[in-house]
Amino acid sequence: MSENPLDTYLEENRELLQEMEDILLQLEGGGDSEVMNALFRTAHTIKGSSGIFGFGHVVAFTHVVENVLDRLRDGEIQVSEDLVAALLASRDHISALVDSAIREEEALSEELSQQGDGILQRLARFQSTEVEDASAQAATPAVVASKIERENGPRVMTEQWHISIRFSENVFRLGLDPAPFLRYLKKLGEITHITTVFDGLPLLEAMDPESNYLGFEIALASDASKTEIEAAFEFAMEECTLYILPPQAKISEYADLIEHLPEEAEMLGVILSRCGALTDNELQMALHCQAQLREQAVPDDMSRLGEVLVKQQTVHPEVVDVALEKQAQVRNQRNAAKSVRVDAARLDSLINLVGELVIAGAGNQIQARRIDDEALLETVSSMSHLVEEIRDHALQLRMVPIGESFNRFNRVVRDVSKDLGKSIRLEIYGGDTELDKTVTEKIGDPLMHLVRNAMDHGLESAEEREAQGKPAEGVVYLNAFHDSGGIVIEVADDGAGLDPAKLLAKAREKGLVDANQELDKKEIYRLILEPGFSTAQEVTDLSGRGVGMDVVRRNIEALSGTVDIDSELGEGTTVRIRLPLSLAIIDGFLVGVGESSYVIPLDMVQECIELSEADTQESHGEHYINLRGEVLPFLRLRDVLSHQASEHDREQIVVVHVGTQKAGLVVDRLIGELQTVIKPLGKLFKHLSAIRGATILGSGEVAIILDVPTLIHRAVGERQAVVNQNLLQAADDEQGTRLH
Amino acid sequence: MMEVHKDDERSFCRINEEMTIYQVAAMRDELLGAYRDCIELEVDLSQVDEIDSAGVQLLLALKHTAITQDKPVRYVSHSASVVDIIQLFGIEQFFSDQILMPSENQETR
Repeated sequence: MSENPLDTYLEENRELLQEMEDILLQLEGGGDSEVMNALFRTAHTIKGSSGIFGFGHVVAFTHVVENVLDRLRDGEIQVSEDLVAALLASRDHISALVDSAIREEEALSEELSQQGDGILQRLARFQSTEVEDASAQAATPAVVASKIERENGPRVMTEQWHISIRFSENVFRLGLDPAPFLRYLKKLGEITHITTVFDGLPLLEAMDPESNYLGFEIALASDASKTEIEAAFEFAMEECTLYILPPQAKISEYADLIEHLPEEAEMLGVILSRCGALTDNELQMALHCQAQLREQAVPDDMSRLGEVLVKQQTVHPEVVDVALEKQAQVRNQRNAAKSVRVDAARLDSLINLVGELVIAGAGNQIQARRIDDEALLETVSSMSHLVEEIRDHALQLRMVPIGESFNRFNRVVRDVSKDLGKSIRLEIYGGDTELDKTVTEKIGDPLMHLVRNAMDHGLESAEEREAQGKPAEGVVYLNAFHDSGGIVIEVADDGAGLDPAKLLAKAREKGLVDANQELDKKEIYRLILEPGFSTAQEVTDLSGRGVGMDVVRRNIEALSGTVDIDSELGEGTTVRIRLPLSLAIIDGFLVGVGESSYVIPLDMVQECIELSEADTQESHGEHYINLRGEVLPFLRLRDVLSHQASEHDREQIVVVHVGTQKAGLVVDRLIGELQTVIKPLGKLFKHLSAIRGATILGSGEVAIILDVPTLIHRAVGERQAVVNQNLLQAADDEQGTRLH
Repeated sequence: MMEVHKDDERSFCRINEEMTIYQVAAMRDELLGAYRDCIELEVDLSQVDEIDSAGVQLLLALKHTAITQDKPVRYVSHSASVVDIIQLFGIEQFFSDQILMPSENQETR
């Protein structure tokens, strides 16, 4: 839970901007009034909360956007492509402005203010005529602000709101300052009178300068609604007591107010009459009324107070109903907040502790087995059962629906389809499929690449599509579902599909495949994941920027996932990514090298074979053996990890695979399967490429988890190097005499 | 951060830094020292280029204490930031010893 209000603001702002974007994208398909309202609220809330932090540029710009959205909501302007485009640009600009404000840049950068002006010009024609002149200069916030004030102009006194606010003692320490709230209030209307109440302020020597003793009685002339006024204090809601009385409020309501404020009734009366809220006569009545209240009301029961008021007929039942309803709403809102925001770091430390628990549990089990006491074994077993359940639940906490990552592609697809001049629709399925948060974060880039690829290379142009009798609008599908302990994410398109013959020809041309090598369709499709393989005829600015499909594959494999491709010529292509649900706990295969233990992720282990003397001899010092007629490069872990050579009569090869690449890892001992909690290694070990993490065994011993993709890469690379060297050698031999 | 000098009857003190929540704790002690040590105090606010609610509250507390104990304390040469916030808070009367209004249109608020 973030305690810093600025963090809360940023988090909320991010969500609001996301919501704004989602709605805007929906809007193109038309929206009802509820949607328009929600849209308006996003801008309104952003403006409000930014005002509290004194982010003038954000407020000024958002004000213009809010104005446009207000007109849209009222049906004064209609949704059009231009409008949505301008609003999307505005949304991005707000985000940039907030970033700039966070960096505490007083003046906007040249680029940013130019960008802002450009967008304001685009928005100008959607604005109402009265504010047009202001918007033209909206880059200077002061102009807009003064405009608002002028718009609301001086009002007759009876139109005033009365606001009573007492800030809590801790408000300064929490980083909140009442002054910006008041400044923001000035934007809602004109503060016709304000009295700062500091009755509780002790003498200089007795005060705590970091505690707040201030409160305010404010008369506000404004046509804002109560909710809007309340929203001005939204960020301090928990840290203040706020009473807002509407214009022409009942005297009894003032009586109620006087009753509830901490100061002396008489003094408050004076303040209220000074604020112009009450005439002297009214004040006498209110004080009288309040005195009666005090006698009759049951002090410790707030709801009873309402009843008393009605009985006295000083308040109409409706007023109380409204008040109670309001309370109920607030309560409902609290109930509705069933999800709790938790700091990711806290969650991580919980998972970490659970990991420790699993390890300690394993240690217990070993001890219990050694002691061999039946009762002990039983309790240990039931405890380890519980620990497992806790582990599963804890891991569940980190699960988030993938929908959020998917939704951002709406915008990408929209923008790219405009850029490419293709008409493309995005369809999302299985957005509520859950997976580990860390995986969600890391899957973003590969998905982005795949989606762009699908749009750029997968889908044909509208003319080509129509010529083939397909609908002009191309479709990109994003789909996610759970499948046997993992999650499958599909990125599909209904485009041209992959042409196996073309791919194979290209691969042969590039020397990736031997001329006589036969490949099945799947293997051919997988070729596009190879480094240096690109079938794109022309390089567009979307793809072909050096980030190839091989990077996608490597990213996915780094998450212990796999990539799989399906395609039908003329029908479309589906890229299927399969990922483990969590990265925190894996099934591992424990092996021994020298005195140490190492863990290989079990799903990468294909088989274990003995490395015979004959095999080693046959390999002639080169790092490969013949595995049933297949060339299998291998690495001796002892060499890779610089262990002392130990005399072992039998070495074992663990055949590991990632995708279709295989390699052998030569180890001294095979120990067995185990479930391990991955613990990240410290910064010191960051540059060690062959290691993914560590785990602690039940015995308390540390075991290193190997990074299999890197090792395979190295094994294959070394073999390649040897081959190359041989070739060079041969070439040298031929030309040697001439060169030397 | 605060310059204090005295002549026979009066102490003059100039606050030479921001008055925000970050400074108020230390500043209270300094102000209290100056206040106790004087017969009459004049506080120069010309260098206070930033002030927040906690800062204003501290100035209010000093003034409030002075009124209660009947000791003359005056605020002079208010900086623009100070004027801005005391107008916002509607507490000009506690600072009205020598306020220079920057422009007439602000008075209408």
